Order: sequence, then structure tokens, then C-alpha cells
Amino acid sequence: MSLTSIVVQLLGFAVPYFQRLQSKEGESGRKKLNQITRLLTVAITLVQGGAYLTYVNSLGAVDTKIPTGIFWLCNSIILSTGTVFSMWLGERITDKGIGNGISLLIQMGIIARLPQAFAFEFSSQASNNNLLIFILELALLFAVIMLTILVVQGVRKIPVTFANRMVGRTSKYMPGEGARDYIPLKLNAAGVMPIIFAQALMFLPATVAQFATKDQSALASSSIFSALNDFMSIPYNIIYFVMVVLFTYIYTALIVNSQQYTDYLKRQNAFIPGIKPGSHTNEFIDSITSRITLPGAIFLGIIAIFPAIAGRVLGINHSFAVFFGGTSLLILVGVALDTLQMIESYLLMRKYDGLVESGKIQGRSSSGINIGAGY
Amino acid sequence: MKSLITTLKNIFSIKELKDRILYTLLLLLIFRIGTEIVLPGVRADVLKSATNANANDLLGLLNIFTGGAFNNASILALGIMPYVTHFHCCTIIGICSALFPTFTVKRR
Repeated sequence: MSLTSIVVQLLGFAVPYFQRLQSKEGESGRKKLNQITRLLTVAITLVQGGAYLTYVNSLGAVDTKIPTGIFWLCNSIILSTGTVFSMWLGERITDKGIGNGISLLIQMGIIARLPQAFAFEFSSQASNNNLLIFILELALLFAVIMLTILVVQGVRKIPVTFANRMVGRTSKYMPGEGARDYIPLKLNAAGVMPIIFAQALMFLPATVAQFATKDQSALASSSIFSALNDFMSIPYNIIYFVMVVLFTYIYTALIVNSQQYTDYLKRQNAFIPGIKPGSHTNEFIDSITSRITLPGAIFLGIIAIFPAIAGRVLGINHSFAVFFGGTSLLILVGVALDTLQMIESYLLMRKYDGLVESGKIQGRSSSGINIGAGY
Repeated sequence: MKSLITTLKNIFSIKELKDRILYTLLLLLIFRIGTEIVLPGVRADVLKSATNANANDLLGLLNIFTGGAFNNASILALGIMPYVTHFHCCTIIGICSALFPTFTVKRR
């Protein structure tokens, strides 16, 4: 039996099983799925932990006084435990704290580097008497963050009319009351996921090459390897840009289910003015989605490679340039917006004024893109 | 600025919200402390000088995502990376089953 046929058979078995667990078996299915997730994660931890220890060992940072066997055994266990502990922390935050725990942990990791990067950039610019340039960089960073928020929040509102809407009665069960007589289609329905995905794939070739080759010096002098391994290089960023645009399309196609909207409208006895219900509505939503996805995808691509632009063209220090875009910026903005939205909903529930004058922060959670939140 | 202060006051006047925020901050603090604890048997000073050179390559990028834990050889060096990997695998399966519906039909 060839390897591919095994994989296909496994998938044929696993996919319907997971789908059934997720959709039909309710709470117990969800618990079982969580259990499987944890077990698989521990298995992956053992592989990645081994790879990581090999890496540390190759740098010569292992104390020679410690027996090799004990070093590997202990540290494999410690690294696995560390991961399980981190996951537990994340789940506790989701349960008893505020925000999505796993996303917040990722966010913490990124933010933790920010002060250091700021200080480094500041001191290096100050020593060259270029404080003005530092201030301009801050202004640019501010502008990039604003632009990212703008696009993360951007929606195309499709007006909806309710046929048998009662006048003069208010009920929270009636959608279409007040401000929500429209379907909000997100400019960036796919969120940060395509970037994370493309990023993970970009790690692959260089990592595999590093582990597969014995002669590290020959590898380092190979031009293809060094181009793929340097996230500031031009070839790397071209491939990265194309992948992000491509994955954004795939993800949007997976996430935006126009049939769901059509069914919803039908149930609510509502329609889009000028469009017939049923398949016409379906096609209409599809065509709008694909139209707004193109600018969204190109924008994501630009955000993804912006650190390289900031580093190469503007000469910003690399550890600082990373914050000018890419996965880090999108995660920071997205998670911050989600968490704010949650705090906001607590405040509104108790009739306090929210954090924002207009009272509307849209997180990404409604369209289902949360790292580790589900499948 | 004044409205920000009133909002913060409002946040802390709701007991449940206050508790949830403080609890979250506490757990995040524990996570941060964990990323600073180095694995036994690893010489942190050697590792530090060896990894200073790779700021520009992909391992440097990985280090940024784990909040520096990766280059520290911290006990949380992998952090939630395996979990994210697992999540990617599930996504790939999801994409496959969306692109090739035969996977799902076959086993009915």
C-alpha cells in the first residue's frame, strides 16, 4: 500500500468522524474532540521538542557535565509539560478570564518583545543624532496600525428588508430592529489565518533543509537556502505575498457560506431589495464576496510583507521592523479588538457607557477566526 | 481623557468583570515568568551569544512569536507552538475535505 493511499484512507475515516463529533454529538462530542486535540498536541510536542533540543545541542549550548541521556529525557518531558501547561493557562483564561486565552498568550509573546525593540531602535537612532527619524518612524507605525484597524473592521453592508415587520413593537428577538437592517460582509473575512498559514509554510523548506543536511556550512553558502531563510530577502517576500493572497481566497471561500445567509433571510421572511429570494440572492452574495475579497487579499499581502519594506527601503532596524506589519501586527490588532469588544459587552450589559463613543467595536470572533478557538 | 478614566472606573465597579481581568493578568504574568526559566543543562550565556547572530533568519522570527522563550531555551520554549501546528493540520484536513468532497462521501 502506498503512502498516499494510507493518508487518503485515514482522512476518509477521520474527516466524517470529526465532523460528526463537532456538529451532531453536542457537548460530549466537543469534549471528546478537545481530548483528541490534547493528545495529538502532546504527540506533536515530543517531535518538536526533540527538534528543538537538537537545535540547542547544535549550537553547543549544552553543559557537557550532564549525561546526554538524562539531558534528553528530562528536557523532553519538561518541554512537553511546558506546552501542556501553556495550553491549560490559555483554556483557563478563555473560561474564567476575558478574551480568547490562546490568542492572548500569542499576543503576550509578541508584545513582550516590543519595549526592547523600541529601546534598541531609540538608542541606535539617538546615537546617530537621528531622533527626528525615530519620531517619524513612530508616526508611520501609528499610521500602519490605524490602517490595519480600518481594514479589519471594514464591512460591506447589504441592505435587507423585512416583509412582515411590525411597527411600534420592539423585541430583541426580532432582527432588523434598529441599526441592523443589513448583512455585514467583511472586507477581510479570512482575518489573520491566511498569514499565519502562509508563514507556517514558509518555515518549512528552510527548517527541513537545516535538519536534513549534515554539512551546515555548504548549506549556508547556498544562495537559494539563504534567500528562503532570510525574511527580509526579495524572493522570500514575493513568494510570501503570492501565498497570502492565494490563501486569503481559499479561506474566504471556506468561511463565507452564502447559502447560510440565503436560508437566514428566508426564515426571517426578509429579502435584499431588488434581488429575488433563493438562488439569485445566493449568487448576489457570492459575487459581492468575491469582489470585496480582492482588495482584502491584496491588503493582507501588503501587510504581510510590510516589515521587509520597512526594513529594506526605510532602513528600520529589523527587530523593530517586524512590528510594522505581518503576522505580529495583525494578531496584535485583532486580539486587542476582540478583547475590547468583550469588555464592551460587559459594560453595555450593565448599562454603562462603553469604551468607544459610537459604541461599536466589531471583533473578528463573529466570523469564526480565532486561533485555537475551533476548527 | 476624562471619559477614559470614568470608563476604567466603570470597568472596576463591575465585580465579575474586575475579577476576570485581574485573573487574566495573573495567568499572563505566570506565563511570562515561565518563559524566563531556562532548561536544566543548557548554558544560557553560550546560547545567547550563538542566537544573537540569527536575528534575521526564520528562527529569529520564531523567537519573536514565542516572546523570546525560544532563544532562552526556556521551559516554555515551545509555548503553544505544537498546539498551533495541530491547528494547522486540522485546517489542512478541513481544506481537503472542502476541496475534495469525496473524502466525506466515501465512508457513509
